[in-house]
Amino acid sequence: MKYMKKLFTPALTLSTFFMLSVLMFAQPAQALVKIRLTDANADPMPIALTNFSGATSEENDLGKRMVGLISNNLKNTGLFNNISERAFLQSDDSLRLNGPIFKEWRLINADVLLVGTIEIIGPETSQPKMRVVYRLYDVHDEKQLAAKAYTASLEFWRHIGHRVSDDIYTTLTGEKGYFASRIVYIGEDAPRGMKIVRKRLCVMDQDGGSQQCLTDGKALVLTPRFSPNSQTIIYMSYANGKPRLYLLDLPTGEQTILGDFEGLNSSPQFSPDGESVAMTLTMGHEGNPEVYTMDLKKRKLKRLTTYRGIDTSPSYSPDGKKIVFNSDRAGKPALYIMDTDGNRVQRLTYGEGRYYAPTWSPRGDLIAFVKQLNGKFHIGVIDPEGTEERLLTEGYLDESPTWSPNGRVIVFTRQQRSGDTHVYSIDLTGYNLRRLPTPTQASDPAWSPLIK
Amino acid sequence: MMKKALLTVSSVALLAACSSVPGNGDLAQGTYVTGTTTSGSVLMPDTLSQDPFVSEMNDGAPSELVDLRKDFIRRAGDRVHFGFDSASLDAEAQESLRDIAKFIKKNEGRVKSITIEGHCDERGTREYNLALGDRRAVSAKKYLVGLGIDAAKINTISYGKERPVDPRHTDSAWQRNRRAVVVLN
Repeated sequence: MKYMKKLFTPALTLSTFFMLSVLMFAQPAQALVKIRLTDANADPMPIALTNFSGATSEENDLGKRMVGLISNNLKNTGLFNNISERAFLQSDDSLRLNGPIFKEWRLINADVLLVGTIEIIGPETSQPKMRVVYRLYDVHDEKQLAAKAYTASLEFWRHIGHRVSDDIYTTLTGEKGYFASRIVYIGEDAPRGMKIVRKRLCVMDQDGGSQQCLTDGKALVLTPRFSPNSQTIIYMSYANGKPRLYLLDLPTGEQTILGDFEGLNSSPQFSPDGESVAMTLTMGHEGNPEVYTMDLKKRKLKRLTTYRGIDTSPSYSPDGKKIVFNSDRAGKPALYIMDTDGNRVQRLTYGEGRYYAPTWSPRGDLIAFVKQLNGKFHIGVIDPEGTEERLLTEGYLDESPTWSPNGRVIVFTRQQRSGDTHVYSIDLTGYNLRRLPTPTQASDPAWSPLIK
Repeated sequence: MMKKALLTVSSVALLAACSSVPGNGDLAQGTYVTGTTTSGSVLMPDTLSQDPFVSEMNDGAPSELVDLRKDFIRRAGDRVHFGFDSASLDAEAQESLRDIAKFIKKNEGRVKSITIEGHCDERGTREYNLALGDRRAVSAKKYLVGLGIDAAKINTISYGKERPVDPRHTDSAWQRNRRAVVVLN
């Protein structure tokens, strides 16, 4: 409101993606080759990813980079066994001339084959575009499973690579993908001469590409979250000397304060329709953090909790009807669910240990949380009825879980006892633990929805 | 400049020294800077708190204010400590706050306002600890108000687990980090 500041020059804004056009020109056949995501012990599916070919070396180079990106995405899921290019029997030239000779792909035990072409349109113009066409084949059935053409500005080649990755994932698993998405996080480093760790608001593609930091590190910033349309980030900052919440509009780089509410302002989270924010405020009832919501248009606050202890970390259900939150009302921190008007509060967790930081899955079927038990920290999941709890990780300090847009992967902060802090990802199955590549140490990740 | 050099040297010495001076709560809490000399660990009253955040706050502050803060730390101590996941004040914390209140009243003319910072150890999530830090700061504030300090003069702020005074990952570090720090302005 009062405080408005341009934070950065908007370079890669998401709205520009609307220049993208997609053409689907074949009804995808029912995939016989199929990956079941719930089966953690299944063998990875052998897949052959051939370089997208073009007519010029520039096109071939771009095609190679794009397939490299797709290959990395698929490999990181743990669901695929990417066959080495050196094992390929059919050459790129033969592929271009004859189409796939399936026998040769069966010989190297591929189940699925990706081929594609890439064309750069108007390379001499100021805004060159590209056209990418791919086809995905079932090698055993000798059938085309999917095919699509994308046309977009050249600078969005990574986004197109992620979209193709999502297409492949969806074709082979039957579920929505999560590759065309970004992760906002807090980059942590300690430049020479600084006594305190510098924390900056940073964003990256989910694979660690397109890294960008949006604040200069002068002010302490924490707990960023994306709005449902991925255009706004809400986060906590001590920029004015007090803990306040700020909205950062990505396309313009404009930053506005949500409100200058007395006391602690923390734990922001957008509602699924993007019209409200849930958060923790202490207001006049000091020493008593409570969950509030704010209607962003009317700028109207509503207090949802009235308990005298700690109520914090609200997270909406994907239908926007309920909020799960963290409270110590029963003597130790546990999780509770209430309606968005604050009524019908029900305790969700009764297990041993201490529960924190609940985050509702975008599928609605699970809630991720942090559990402190016997000196360790875990990321776990529980269903909204509270009947079945499962711990996925164990560490010195694991916290701040956030869901992939399809609810299959959780990214979280892991601090080692040495203090080393990075962002990791784990599958819902409890397998495939992986550190995400960030240029500095990193914490407080929050995943965006799928970017169209 | 002299101060800065002392601060860096002392942080290591302090760890060894803090248990060797019984009966001085401030030392045990790591508020004072100690130096190591041949005569053992000595209190160096001219130096500021070894708390890097206090020293940073004093960078560029008017000298009367820096003097006031030094005086405050020497005579009253500037902080109290808490148990795990607790914002209650034990007998020791209450005694420290009585000393703090006494000092503030005696120096009423010099103290324009008071900020109480609430801090936590790292054994909790970021958001929960921000809330807990708020409760700790307010708990100390209410006690001071009960002792006759003007509530309108006191601001509170929670830093959660963001500003550990002891960066180690041990029980004693966590104990030192669970604190409310009274800052005079």
